[in-house]
Amino acid sequence: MRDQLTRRGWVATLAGSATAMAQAPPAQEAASDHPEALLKQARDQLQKNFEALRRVRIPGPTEPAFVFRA
Amino acid sequence: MDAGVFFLTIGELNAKLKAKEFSCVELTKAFSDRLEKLGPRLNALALPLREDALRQARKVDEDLKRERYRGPLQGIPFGAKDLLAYAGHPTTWGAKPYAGQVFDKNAGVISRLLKVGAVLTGKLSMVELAGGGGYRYAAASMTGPGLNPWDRGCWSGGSSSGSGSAVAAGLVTFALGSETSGSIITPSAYCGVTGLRPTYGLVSRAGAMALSWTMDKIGPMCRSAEDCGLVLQAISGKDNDDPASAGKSYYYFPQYARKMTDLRVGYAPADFEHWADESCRPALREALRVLKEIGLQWKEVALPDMPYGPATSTIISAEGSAAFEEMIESGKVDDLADKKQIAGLKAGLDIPAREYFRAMRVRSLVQAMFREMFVEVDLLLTPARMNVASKVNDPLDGGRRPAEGKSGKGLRDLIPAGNLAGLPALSLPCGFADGLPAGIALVTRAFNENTILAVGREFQNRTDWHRRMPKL
Repeated sequence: MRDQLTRRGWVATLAGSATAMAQAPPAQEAASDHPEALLKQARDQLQKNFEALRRVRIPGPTEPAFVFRA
Repeated sequence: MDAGVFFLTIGELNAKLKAKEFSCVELTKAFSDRLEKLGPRLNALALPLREDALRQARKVDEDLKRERYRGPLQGIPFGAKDLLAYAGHPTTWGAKPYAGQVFDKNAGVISRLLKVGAVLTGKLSMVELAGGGGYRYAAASMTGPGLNPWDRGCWSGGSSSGSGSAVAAGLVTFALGSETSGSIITPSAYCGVTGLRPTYGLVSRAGAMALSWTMDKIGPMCRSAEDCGLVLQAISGKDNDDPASAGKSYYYFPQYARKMTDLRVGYAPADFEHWADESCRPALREALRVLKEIGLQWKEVALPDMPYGPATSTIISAEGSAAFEEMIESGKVDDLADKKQIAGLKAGLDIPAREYFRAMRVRSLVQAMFREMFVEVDLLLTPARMNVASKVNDPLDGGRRPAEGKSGKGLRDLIPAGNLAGLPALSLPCGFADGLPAGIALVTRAFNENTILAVGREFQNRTDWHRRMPKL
């Protein structure tokens, strides 16, 4: 059995984790990955979610869930 | 130490400790060696805790020597998702902005496990902030993408990525994960381990990162349904430090489970024959066959057409962005690894109250729907995921979906729907597709964990998928 992993050893292990480096997402940034474009996409998705929720007919007396299990 | 030891269940390992086949210190050293050697290769290890673990192991050995037995978890090595506080050590939540964060108190669940003699050998990696803003790549984590022990070119699932791969690879005997919507079930299914999402409020969230105050649950990821029951018994119960605590305890009593022939199962054939990826269908069919042999009563059901996903997303976005408001407003959010997540968290700050409350009113309807459904059936069965793990570099938001056609929706939205209703779920490995694990999931009414665990146990008595070991 091996000795305790030292802090230096741990850092070296992490740094040497070639897999982590190799598996990072593609470095080349597509136009759709631009922060402003992504923010717009996120807001558009929220709007789509709101619209889907608005299509539900909610009976008047329905209160928001205050107990978070059925 | 024989390699098989790393894949024993809690009961088997505890019996060997009691029989003094090895000491807890020897066991802890062996597991720590394996975790520190293989954990980084899978990007599963956030923080090794060898010294603390050995201190705890020495106490366990002392107790065992004096025949002070503290239950089946005594001496068992485990890991905890890095969103659970462990006093005096970094708790990063998988995210660079919190890399230096240290708490002075343990999470409630960790304290409970240490009290019964379990040995915490490491903190396990996770998707940053449990993916609350939505994320596009598996690499959305400070420790890199979670890699699947069955194929390191594939993802381990999220957000409890390290918990899934560490259990599957035999780096710990069990792990704690958390689920807001899918974060225990998904990595359990992708890594081929047995994962339990408990009823909302059954397990304390004190000392856990808050993503969604109304949806977060902490649960075990293990080798078997029986192990999930044993861990749940130790971590459940009232906690005054968690305002959502239901104040209920849970006892794992498989001997008092209802007869299998009395249980009514709801399922949708379309889930297995239409929605599931073609490659998964043989394994899923075989799981159905085994379950039918058990003698359960079967009934075809489907979820009514409701916006489960949009309701879940709206609630998580609103609550998550509020929980991380300070980080978002300070600009530190830009240090996160995944750009989609950054955008999602920023956008979530602007959700109007009326949209949030509409989602919460829809949530009330979903809960009422489940109450009606569970008059007709005792549990629901679906594929845990409709696919196996994706390639690690593939975007996660571009999945193929078959056309709806005549098959109907079945239960395919059971992950968001079940989470909206705070219902317990159990993921069980049921075979392989393209060399990767496939799984089924069982869902039942609140606080009825023993029913799904009993069915899971019976399924695992008749199969050995949960005993398979990946080659590492």
